[in-house]
Amino acid sequence: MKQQYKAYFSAITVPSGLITQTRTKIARERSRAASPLKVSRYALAAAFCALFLLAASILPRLSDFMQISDNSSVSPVPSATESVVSTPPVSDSTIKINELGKLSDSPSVGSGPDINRVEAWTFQDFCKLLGFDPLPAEIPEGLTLASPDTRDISFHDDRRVDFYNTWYVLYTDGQTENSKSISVHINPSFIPYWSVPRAYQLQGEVQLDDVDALLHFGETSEINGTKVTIWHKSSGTVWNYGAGAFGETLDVTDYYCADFEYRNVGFTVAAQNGVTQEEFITVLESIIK
Amino acid sequence: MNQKSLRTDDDVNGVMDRYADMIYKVALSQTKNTANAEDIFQEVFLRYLRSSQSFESEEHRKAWLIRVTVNCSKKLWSSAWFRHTVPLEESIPFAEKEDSDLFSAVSRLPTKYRLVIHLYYYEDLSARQISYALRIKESTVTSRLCRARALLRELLKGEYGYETTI
Repeated sequence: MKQQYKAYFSAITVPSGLITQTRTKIARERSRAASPLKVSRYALAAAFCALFLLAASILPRLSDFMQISDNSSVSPVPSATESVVSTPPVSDSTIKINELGKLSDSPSVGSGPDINRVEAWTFQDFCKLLGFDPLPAEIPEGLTLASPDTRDISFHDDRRVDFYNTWYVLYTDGQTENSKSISVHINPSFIPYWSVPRAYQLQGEVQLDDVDALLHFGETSEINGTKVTIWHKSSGTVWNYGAGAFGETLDVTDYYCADFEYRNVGFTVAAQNGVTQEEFITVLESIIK
Repeated sequence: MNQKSLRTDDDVNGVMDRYADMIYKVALSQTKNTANAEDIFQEVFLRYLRSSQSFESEEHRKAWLIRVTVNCSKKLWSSAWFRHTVPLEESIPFAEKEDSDLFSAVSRLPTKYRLVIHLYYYEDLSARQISYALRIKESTVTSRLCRARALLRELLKGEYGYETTI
């Protein structure tokens, strides 16, 4: 069947006109980019913001100048819509929760090169590599560890662990997509790359290239001196990193996720289906000691 | 913000020479329609032109192109225009009836199965390479392949003896 399928598709050729059309479009795009009159939408947005801020700062003074005595008739300066909800600090922590947007279908960034060095490791081996135990000391009641003791770890030739292979630990009260669960992804060679799809979710439509910028979307919280980006979605679709079909889209309620780097190790912690904000923060605080 | 620089002609042309066939056929396998496949083809190369993504290996570049093609296809399906139109499933000429049956069976598979079947059967990618390209677990790829084969077996049952050869 494979041969038959292959033979069938081999007989199809890319229309030559399509290549020419694409080259023409590329040339057009190139000349558009080279045009000195081009003003990017970012520049327009920046100019608009600057005008808005200027107006916001001038208007109250103008009102004073005109000695408007009836304060009740003066409209307050409109403030930008708050997308970040601040909650009172917990111990040494300042918590800021970023609301996730709708799931975008923008492409996600690539993972590591083709890796051929693979070894079966125990979690103890992994802890030895990190130099510490990365697991949370506190887990919400009712959740139990449901992860294998060993897993295949892939390496680059220089023994760096490939970032495509995080150690993944799951605490759950079941094995279905609706189970209450907390997952911890630990990666010693890369700042959590799951942030990137989440940034797509946040933005809806983002160009995929600027990974560094994407990683720093969102307000950062501080937990015991470590910067943490926390995301929340009350209901909707997210990438599933918990129980059930891993890495696929999933409809959730009350989804929390945090990305951070602690002791040179990348972490992504996700909680879904009933883990409260307090429980989630407690878990984070028990990792970032 | 600095204006992004575009990739060079040499770069884009080289990629087009190497991957035009792959991108067109992945798009065709996903959309089952040449006009949509052509739109996706152009969009993928425009995205590549604008992209400043650096690639660690040719494997990485190929995986990126597959992912962008798949995402462009998904974008097409989710567009309001596409949702309100009836997809045109073209009658592609086949040399043999068996080809026609096979293509018809594959095109009836759900998209996620059709994709792994195409990458595995036509692009000769391994389950690991597919998982790398699509950013899904290798076990998910193998389970989709198994499921896709089982569905194909079901769809082709009675047509001719595919029971053990799929």
